[in-house]
Amino acid sequence: MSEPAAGQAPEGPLLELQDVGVSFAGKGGSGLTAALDGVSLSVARREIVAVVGPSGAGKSTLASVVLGLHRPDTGRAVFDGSPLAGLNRRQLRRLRQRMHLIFQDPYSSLHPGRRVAWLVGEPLAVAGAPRPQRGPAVARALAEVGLAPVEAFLDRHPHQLSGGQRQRVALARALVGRPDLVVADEPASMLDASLRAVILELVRRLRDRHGASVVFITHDLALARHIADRVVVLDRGRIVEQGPADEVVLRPRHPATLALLEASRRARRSLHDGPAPAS
Amino acid sequence: MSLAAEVVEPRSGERARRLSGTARALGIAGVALLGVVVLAALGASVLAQHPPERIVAAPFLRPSGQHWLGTDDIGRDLFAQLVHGARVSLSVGLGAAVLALGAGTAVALVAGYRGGWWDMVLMRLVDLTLTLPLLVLVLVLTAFLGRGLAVSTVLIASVLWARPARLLRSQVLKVRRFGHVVAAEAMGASALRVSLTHVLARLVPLLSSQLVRAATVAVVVQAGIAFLGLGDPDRVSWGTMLFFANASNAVLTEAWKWWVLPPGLALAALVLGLALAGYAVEEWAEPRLARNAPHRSRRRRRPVEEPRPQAAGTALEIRSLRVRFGGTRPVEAVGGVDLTVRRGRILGLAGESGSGKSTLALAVMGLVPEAGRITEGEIMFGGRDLRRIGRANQARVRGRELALVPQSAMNALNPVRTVLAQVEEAARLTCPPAEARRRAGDLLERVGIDPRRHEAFPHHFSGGMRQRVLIAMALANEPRLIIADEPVTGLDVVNQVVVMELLESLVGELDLDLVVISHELPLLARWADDLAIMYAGRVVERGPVERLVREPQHPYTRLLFSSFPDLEGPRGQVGTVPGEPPDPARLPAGCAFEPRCPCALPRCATERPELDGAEGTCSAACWLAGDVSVRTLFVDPAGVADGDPG
Repeated sequence: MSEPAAGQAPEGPLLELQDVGVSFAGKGGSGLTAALDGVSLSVARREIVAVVGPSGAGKSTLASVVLGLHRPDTGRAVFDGSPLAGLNRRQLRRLRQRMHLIFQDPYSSLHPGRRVAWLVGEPLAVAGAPRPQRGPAVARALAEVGLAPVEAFLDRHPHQLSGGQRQRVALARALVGRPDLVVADEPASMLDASLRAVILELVRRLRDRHGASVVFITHDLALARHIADRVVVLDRGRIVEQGPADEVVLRPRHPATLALLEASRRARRSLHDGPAPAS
Repeated sequence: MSLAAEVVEPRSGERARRLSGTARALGIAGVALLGVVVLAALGASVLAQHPPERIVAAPFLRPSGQHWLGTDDIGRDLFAQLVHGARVSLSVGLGAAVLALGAGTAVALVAGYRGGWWDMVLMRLVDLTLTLPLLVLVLVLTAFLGRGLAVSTVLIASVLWARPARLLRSQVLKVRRFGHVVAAEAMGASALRVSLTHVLARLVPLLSSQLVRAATVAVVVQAGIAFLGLGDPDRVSWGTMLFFANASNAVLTEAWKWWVLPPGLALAALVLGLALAGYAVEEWAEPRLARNAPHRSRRRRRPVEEPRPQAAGTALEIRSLRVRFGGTRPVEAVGGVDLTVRRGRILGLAGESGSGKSTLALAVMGLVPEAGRITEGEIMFGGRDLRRIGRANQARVRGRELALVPQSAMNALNPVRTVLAQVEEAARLTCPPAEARRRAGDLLERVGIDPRRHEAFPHHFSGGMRQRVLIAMALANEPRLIIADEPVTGLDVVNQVVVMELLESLVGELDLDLVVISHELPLLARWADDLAIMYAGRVVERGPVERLVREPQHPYTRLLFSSFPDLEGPRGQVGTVPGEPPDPARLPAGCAFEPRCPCALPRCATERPELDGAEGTCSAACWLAGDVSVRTLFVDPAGVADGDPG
């Protein structure tokens, strides 16, 4: 395991983005488009941070920078004291084993040809854990996400699971390696409503039981408010507002946050809400 | 989560790999043919009483009990040559195929996964190999390098690897963006591990079919070389048999029957066997192909009596509609649905994935997938039953009167045509060409696409804009009713509002009737006039939205509402529907929701409640409907929000 670089206090922030900028070749080849522009963000240990913004705000780019899958053009990402840019391939891989990415689409992120035991054990195998150690850890993780009895699931392929069970397997993969940082990229947007609560509960468990920090990416302010300690609003590649979840969602200041909030109000109506506003 | 995936996806317990009838029949025929050849090869020394290369009798003997196929020009036994020839064909065919595919796969993985310079150099090498004339090259090299079997095998492989390499590389490029591949990279797996355990496994379908193809080509090329006299002089093969037959003018005499025909037939059998087996292998490796297999359905005679006329003020009336999917585990995806779309109102159809809402929409459009069939019911639209007007008329209704905005705006547009061209193509159905172009432009502008971007391609557009293009396409022929299937799934909230506002304004402006399908109940509760909630293929609750939001009767509706996070209220409280949806192939005898229901009664397990009450009123298929005590049976998040937050 990589130790924090010398001179760094081990209790500093787990993740720090310092003035990160990423540009892509523009649409239709018209110059460069900034996907991220001067983004500075720090995530403390055991903190759940929601990154909220409309599509195209740069949320997914932010996730790939955090995981070291994309090298920023300017600025730097520092994980537990080590700047990602200074690492070679092997060191970066080693570091990634302390992170975990949860996908938007729980179906595609599971290898269809493998069984649950293999799928959940994969993060351990990648990290080089010897085979005998993996079995008990896999069983523990499956039990923890509510796939019981564990033996009934170990030998199943993803297509033999319901959507909810597949999502639980995806979450068991996040638990099993005891990652320090979990990045969840819109994990709820394609799911049925009844699974949303499952995600919420497990993300919280990741933090409370396993001490992980979570970067939760979503376009849904309501969901962000329920899940996160802190909400960061991203708009056109820039952080326009951040603060404690209730502070940002209930008393927004920036027009972009207001627009998101207004859209959330207009898009939905729950039980006992008044009549739909005329539009 | 395409429509097809939703309705035909195998559920727990089912073996995924099951061949369709056709594939199985062809596969068995192929394996049988191959089996004959393999048996001949394995048992050659037992089957043939004579050694194939030795002179054992007089030349040019006719078939006899001693020599079943006679002898050749120098007195070698032809039958012995035939069975021993199978060994050569099989070993060269399989050997060359395995070598070629091994090399091709390695090149594809390195080029596709590593990319950059590796890709550049390796792919130019592939191009170069592909441009060389295959047979000529092998012949020249054979003459140069020698005629041994091993040399032939390597030579054939060396010209065969390039085609699979190219095909496999493009597959690697596709697969490396698959979720589980990116996931493995994100967890820090090495390139070797990712390409071997994640990428290679997804190449198997293509690999296996390419292997069979390469083997076929290798067999034919080897026979060709030998026929031209360049075969291994020490090993008799079918090609050399033909070479000697030709050299001795056997074709001109009666001897062709036992000298030319047998090796020719043997070659044909081997190649045909490989091709047929390849067909089955392809389907085995890619089970989705089985969905295209023809579906055997017994066409039932329709009842003769006329349907009840459509009620006034209704745009669409669905009556006791049932859709069944056949196959190894029959599933009733839609199980007796009654539903009415009232004129000028928006009907919201809500339900979780697998509840049958998309299948219902497809049934109305007359587009039920090949594996499924409407078994019962009426679809009254424009005063007639769409099920009785015949396929041709159904096709006329589609697009012109009824239009579908398909699910998943990402995939529903053609990536290589401009959006204008695609809307124009849709409008051509009812418009002359010049008019169609003008109308396409108008429609795109109406849905809010800047005229300067009409000539752009779909990938230049955001998800919200693509969805608007699809709506413009649905409007192209001025339909009366539009069914929008999950129009906002995958869009952010801002775009959700834009798309829903657009749909709402179109309803008023163009006098449209609209059905919106979504798994987001609160969204429908905000935009629809009437709501219908589907669960396990049936409508469990329906009614005007105001009533339904104020006073939902079905426990499922309540739980579904509660599972969406609120903007206000205490933090961290989001409800859920407990349990898992039922297996559609094994629905409970009573209420399908009973196993998950927090307030189920004993009778719920045995008796199925039905919807009652006239259309336009509220109705829930629940024994507790109307019972006030239902509401107190569960934690109501909205109630908590209103009352004490403790």
